[in-house]
Amino acid sequence: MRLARRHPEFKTILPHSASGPPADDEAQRRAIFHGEWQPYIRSLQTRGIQYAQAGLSFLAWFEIAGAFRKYMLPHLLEAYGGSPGRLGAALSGMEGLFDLQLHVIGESYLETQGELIRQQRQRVQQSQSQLAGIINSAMDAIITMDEDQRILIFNPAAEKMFQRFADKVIGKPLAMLIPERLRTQHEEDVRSFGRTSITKRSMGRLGLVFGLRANGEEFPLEVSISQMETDGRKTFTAILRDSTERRQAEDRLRYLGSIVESAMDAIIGKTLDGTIVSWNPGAERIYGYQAREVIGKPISIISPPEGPDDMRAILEKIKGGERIQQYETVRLARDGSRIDVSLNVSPLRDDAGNIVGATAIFRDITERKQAERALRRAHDDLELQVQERTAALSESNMLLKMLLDYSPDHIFFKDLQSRFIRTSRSQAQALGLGDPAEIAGKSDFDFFAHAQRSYEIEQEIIRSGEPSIGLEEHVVWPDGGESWGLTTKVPLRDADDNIIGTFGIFKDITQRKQAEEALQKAELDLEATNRELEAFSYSVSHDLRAPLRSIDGFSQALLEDYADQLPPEGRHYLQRVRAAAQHMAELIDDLLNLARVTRASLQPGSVDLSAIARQIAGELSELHPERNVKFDIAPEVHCSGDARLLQIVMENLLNNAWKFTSRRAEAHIEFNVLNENGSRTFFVRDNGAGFDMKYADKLFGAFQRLHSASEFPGTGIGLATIQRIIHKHGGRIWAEGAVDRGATFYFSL
Amino acid sequence: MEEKLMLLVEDNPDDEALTIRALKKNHIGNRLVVAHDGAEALDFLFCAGAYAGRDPCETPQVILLDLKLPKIDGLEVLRRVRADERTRTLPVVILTSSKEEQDIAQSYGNGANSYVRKPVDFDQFVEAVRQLGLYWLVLNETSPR
Repeated sequence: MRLARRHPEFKTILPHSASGPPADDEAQRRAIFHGEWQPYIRSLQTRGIQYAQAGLSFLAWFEIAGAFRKYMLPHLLEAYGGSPGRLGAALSGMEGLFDLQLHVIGESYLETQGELIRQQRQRVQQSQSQLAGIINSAMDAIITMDEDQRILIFNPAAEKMFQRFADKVIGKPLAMLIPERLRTQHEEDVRSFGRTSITKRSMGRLGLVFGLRANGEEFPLEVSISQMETDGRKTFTAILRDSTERRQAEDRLRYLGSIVESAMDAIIGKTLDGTIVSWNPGAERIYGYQAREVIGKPISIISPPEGPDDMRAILEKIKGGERIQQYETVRLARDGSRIDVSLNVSPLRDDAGNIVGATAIFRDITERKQAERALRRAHDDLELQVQERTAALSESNMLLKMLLDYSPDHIFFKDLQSRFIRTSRSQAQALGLGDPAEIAGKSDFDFFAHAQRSYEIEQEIIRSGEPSIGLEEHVVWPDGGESWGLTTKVPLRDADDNIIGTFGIFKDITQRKQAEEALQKAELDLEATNRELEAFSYSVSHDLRAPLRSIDGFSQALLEDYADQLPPEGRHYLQRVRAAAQHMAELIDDLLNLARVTRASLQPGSVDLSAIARQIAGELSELHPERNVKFDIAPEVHCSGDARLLQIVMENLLNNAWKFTSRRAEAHIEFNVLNENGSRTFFVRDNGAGFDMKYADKLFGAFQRLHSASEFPGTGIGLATIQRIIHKHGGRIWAEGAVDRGATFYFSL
Repeated sequence: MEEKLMLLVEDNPDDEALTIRALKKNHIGNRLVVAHDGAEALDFLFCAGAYAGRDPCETPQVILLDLKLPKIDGLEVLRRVRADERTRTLPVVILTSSKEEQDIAQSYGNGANSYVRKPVDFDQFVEAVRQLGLYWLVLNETSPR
């Protein structure tokens, strides 16, 4: 068995030689005894060739023969042991046979050996070309280098990988394929690998392996390296695979992992029975539990005891393959606080696609919920405000409705095209509509022949934004009735101040208009009357006086020319004719004055009554120097009024005072003013004849006299004229007096 | 000295007679021409109509003009007198019954030189005529021609 120990490859042969012969060997051995060994020798020969093919050395062959001898010797002893002579003969015969056969075997062996070498060479060639094929067609880059790390083989895949041609790298140092920063390390790695007896290993274990392309680009590599020793020289063969893609995939995985790690959201993995299997930092942050505290615990620890009890339902859905998205619920944190979360749950599947658990992503929406609640409160507040506003609005709507229902003025709202939006009941009735709502969409053109007029006004208001105020309009209603109205139209604006139409009010002023017309007519009549009166006055002034002049003139002519033919009585009569004519002339003048005052219009201004009084007093004193009259005129009495008319007032009053004091030896006439309660009362006082107060009401009537003409001359028109003037000024005149105790005439303006 | 001419425009014969009487009483012996309406007055002044043959150089020293006249009234006569170059400077005294303000205002507005209301009292009338005569025929110098 030494042989077997020394040559392990003999194991396949030895069972046939070292262990007991198989059943058919017994017959073969007997045949050999009987000299029929040719078949056995041929069998050996065949085996020998097989052994040679297996690489057995010639020496080994002898050992096999020795083994055969040892194998056969017991059989020979058993067969020929009874007779030493026969045994000796048998042994020498066998040896001779061996020698003979060995010779034959030797020759056959040499022949065989030559054949073997031929076959070997052929096989080597075959395997070399196979190897070259493998190397050339390999997807992986294959690089073989010698002990000095010079490149021996550089296959097409390597060419492609490093973007270099084989003929440019073969024989060059491997370092050119390695980034400079890694070269020293790599060289050392390969050397230390060479020192080991390991035939093959992955270089990834030694750290990252990077290649360097011809363009300077670095790329990650997976490398396995093997070493082989041939003729005492080592070669290293590296098989390289570009790991860029795989690295990218790994990077993606790492990236996803980091997302899970760094997510703000809680990402929790759990099994279908609700056991927590993963718990990211986001979950730690939100729920306050560390991953090591909760992994393996039931997910229900984050379910608040008061509910909602929704976890089971969620897991049921997940089991059915459903996803749960944006589900909002409440969860319990470690510190007992309730957290509003938005939940996304997806089924977790194994490689075979079976649902084995769930991944839940919880987003803490507490803040959002608070914001929502705040928003809801704000919304509720707003709702309340809206309700209040709505109430206010409905109140103002009601007021508007009242206004529209009961306003006698026509109120209307129109759109940008001058179509009615709404109108008052009064307007609807005037247009012959039973219900104001029927107006909507209609326009003036549906009712009025003169619609164009209002249309243009409204369009101008819409264009300019300027209202049209108090426009007087004549309107013919659909029923044929006619009205005058004052129309005001203004732009109708929305809350953003955009003009959205017009709003108008029509006030029926027909009655006023009629009254105005009547008034106008009355005024015209009055004017005509006044003109007639004026013409009359003019005639009176001219024509009534002319005959008086004739009467007086010719009476005088008679007296002058025929005095001697007239008795004294006749001359006296003529004197009376003249006096009457002259009195009548005075009456005419006074009447004309009165008429003039009546129709004169006031021309107000500032009037110095004191100055007027002084002037009149001066004139009177000059005219009648024989009289002794003391005037007492207050200075600086001013008033506002018509200077010309007030002159007449003062003249009349002072003339009267002068006249009625004519019988006083010491006459006294006073003009002054009383200030009482802010109102002023002017007065003219005399110490003359006075009057009886019971006739005071007659004082101011035209032609009314309290004295006879023989006592005091006069026409009785003066005070009537004064009264007209004072009344024209809006003032009042009255008198106080007593017979022979003087009179006082008061007036205010 | 040439006797000065006066033109009296007066339609009322009574007033005419009384005026002449008053002139006489005041010894105003000037030649007096009486026109009985406005048209006649203008004919005289502009030597037309019945007065076509009159010496146009003989112009009155003063015109006594009533306002209320037939045909052409006093104010119109005044206007035409003032509008014509030949008569523009003639003294015109309005002698009338009216003392209506509008009459007075319009008379002066149209260039009257004086406005005298005829008093009813004949004595006063005589006095007025006396003063008029004294003033316009004696004191007043007319515009040189």
